[in-house]
Amino acid sequence: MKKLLLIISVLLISCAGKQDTNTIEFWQFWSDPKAKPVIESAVSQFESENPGWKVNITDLTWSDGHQKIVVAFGAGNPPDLLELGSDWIAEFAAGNALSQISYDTSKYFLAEPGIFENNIYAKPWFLASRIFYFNKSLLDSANVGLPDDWDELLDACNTIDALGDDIAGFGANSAEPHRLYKKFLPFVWSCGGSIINNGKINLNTPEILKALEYYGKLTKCGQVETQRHLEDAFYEGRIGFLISGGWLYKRLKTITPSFEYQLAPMLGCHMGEVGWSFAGGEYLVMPQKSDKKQAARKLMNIVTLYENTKALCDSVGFGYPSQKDNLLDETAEEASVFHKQLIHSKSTPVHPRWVYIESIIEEMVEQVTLGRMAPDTAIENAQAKIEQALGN
Amino acid sequence: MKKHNTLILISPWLLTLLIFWAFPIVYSLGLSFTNYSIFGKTSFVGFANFIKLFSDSSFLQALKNTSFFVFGTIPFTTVIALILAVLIAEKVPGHKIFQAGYFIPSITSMVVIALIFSSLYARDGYLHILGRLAGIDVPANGYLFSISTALPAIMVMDIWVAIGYYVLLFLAGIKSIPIEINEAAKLDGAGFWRRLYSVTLPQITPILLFILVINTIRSFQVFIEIYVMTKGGPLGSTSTVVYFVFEQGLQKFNMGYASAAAYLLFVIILGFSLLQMKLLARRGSVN
Repeated sequence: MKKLLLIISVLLISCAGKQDTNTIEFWQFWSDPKAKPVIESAVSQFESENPGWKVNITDLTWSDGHQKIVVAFGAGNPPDLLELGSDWIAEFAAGNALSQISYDTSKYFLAEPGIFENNIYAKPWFLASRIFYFNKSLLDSANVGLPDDWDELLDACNTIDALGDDIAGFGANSAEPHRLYKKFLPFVWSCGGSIINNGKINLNTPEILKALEYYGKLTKCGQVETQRHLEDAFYEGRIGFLISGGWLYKRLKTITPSFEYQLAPMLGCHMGEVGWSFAGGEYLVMPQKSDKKQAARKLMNIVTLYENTKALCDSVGFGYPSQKDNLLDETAEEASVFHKQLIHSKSTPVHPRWVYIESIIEEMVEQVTLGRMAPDTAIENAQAKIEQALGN
Repeated sequence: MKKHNTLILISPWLLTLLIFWAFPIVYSLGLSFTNYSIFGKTSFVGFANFIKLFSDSSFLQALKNTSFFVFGTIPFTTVIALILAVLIAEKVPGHKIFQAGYFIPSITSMVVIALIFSSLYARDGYLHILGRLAGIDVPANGYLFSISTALPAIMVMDIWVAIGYYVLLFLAGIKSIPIEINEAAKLDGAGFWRRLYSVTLPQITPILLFILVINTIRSFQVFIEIYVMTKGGPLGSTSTVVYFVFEQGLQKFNMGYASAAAYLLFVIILGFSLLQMKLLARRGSVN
């Protein structure tokens, strides 16, 4: 029996993790072969400026990264520095899992998702917005010009959709969790609406109704699919227009498609108004339980330096650093549709239970696009569900 | 000494079983009676999670979809596999190629199969185009984005994937029937159908029972194809109980509630398996 206990002890000891007092655990999502060396370069800069300190980088994936992070917090063993998506920060901040930090938020674009109940928990790092991609060849075939407002966009959608069974006007997202709301909310914002007002969620507004009615009409002349499939279909010239990020532009630039395409910012509700888009953001946070906060803070500052983030954006081919001074310089050579759209972008509304709210909003949109409910009924239904979920 | 050596030799397996199987199973039973939350305080809630499940429309829909999936696939999977096994046993021309061919989907990754079928079912996929050419009223956005066709489309794929494994099991059962019994039946003038009904089927009852039980367990646990192809949509029409457990436990982190749903599924599967065993054991004893 003693032998058995000895073997078990050896096995358990060999499985146990080794805690190095001068090693910072940094969890991040950039595993792209082009991006990883840039991250490693920033880390090397930290290590050379802070002799004696080492950084252990752990790559996460978007498919299961959130689960891993929550489990790590649950086990009381979070990293020292962590990358979070903009829509996750409130959830962790509300659970007292993050350390408060301080920096001049006025100098950073889209700092809002990192602020919860007037306290700053996250520093913006990398930002990327979504824009319209038009198939110019299909617009020409349909004899319509580049739309300037919502009415013209709907006309273009219907006309392109009528070109043939294999052609769709609009690339409409199916209810892929965490995606559909990012496509729908820009229509709400472009109408002047918002989901959260004075801390309360209210879907019963004329702006949301108008956006939902319009999105339903667009879907009718579109193809409903997953984002990945829609981008494939656009690349193959079978979709008139869709909303996507810089990764699609990178793909179109890498292998030129057989048709002419044009990028355009989101359209306002009315002629001449600015259209708002959704900006995804990567933020850096320091978990409350970290005992190396000072060093982790130094690493955070180096990783988020403009030149380091710019190198990261260049390596992946899209996105912008979050520093406002550089971003707002519209005269800069790199000014583009993405650049301008980012200035007119918003991020996920800050709410600790956003994961519940977004699923209800996505269901609301799906009820309309599938023709199961009228927009006003779908809104009332969703509002009731949100109030029930939040215990109001 | 001999006993100690035995313990040492089986200890890797035993440890794995205890740490990664037994402990989580017992622990999740405890969780099912709590409102466990990673960031909040955990408290004992008794049977509240189980009671809540019966009034949760998402869970009830998932249970309904799972039942539809189970009862809609098992008869087809079993009957088709039996027919194919009988044909192969009769040594139709090319039976060895068929035998290998039927089994290929069973050894292919479900993720890969689900991705391929997602493309086939899409608006621009071959199955959609074929449907249009045949004049069938196909869903405008493909089979997986219509409430009425999404779950049946996944079921058809699942039947195609599963039959190969059951063909092999049936074939093993058929080949284990003593040749004398079939020869005697032939001498008595029994034709193919008579031998199938009176000799083959009664002889393979234990295999049939085994197939029905494992097919039921497997079908109740359907998850990968749902996760890859539809994420439970559109509007929850393909959400299953295991997908519900995943969503509640690993996306919304309601671990207690998810554990309760998992244990309810366990009770349902156990009940069905016992019922099948009892019914078929009775039929076996009659025969």
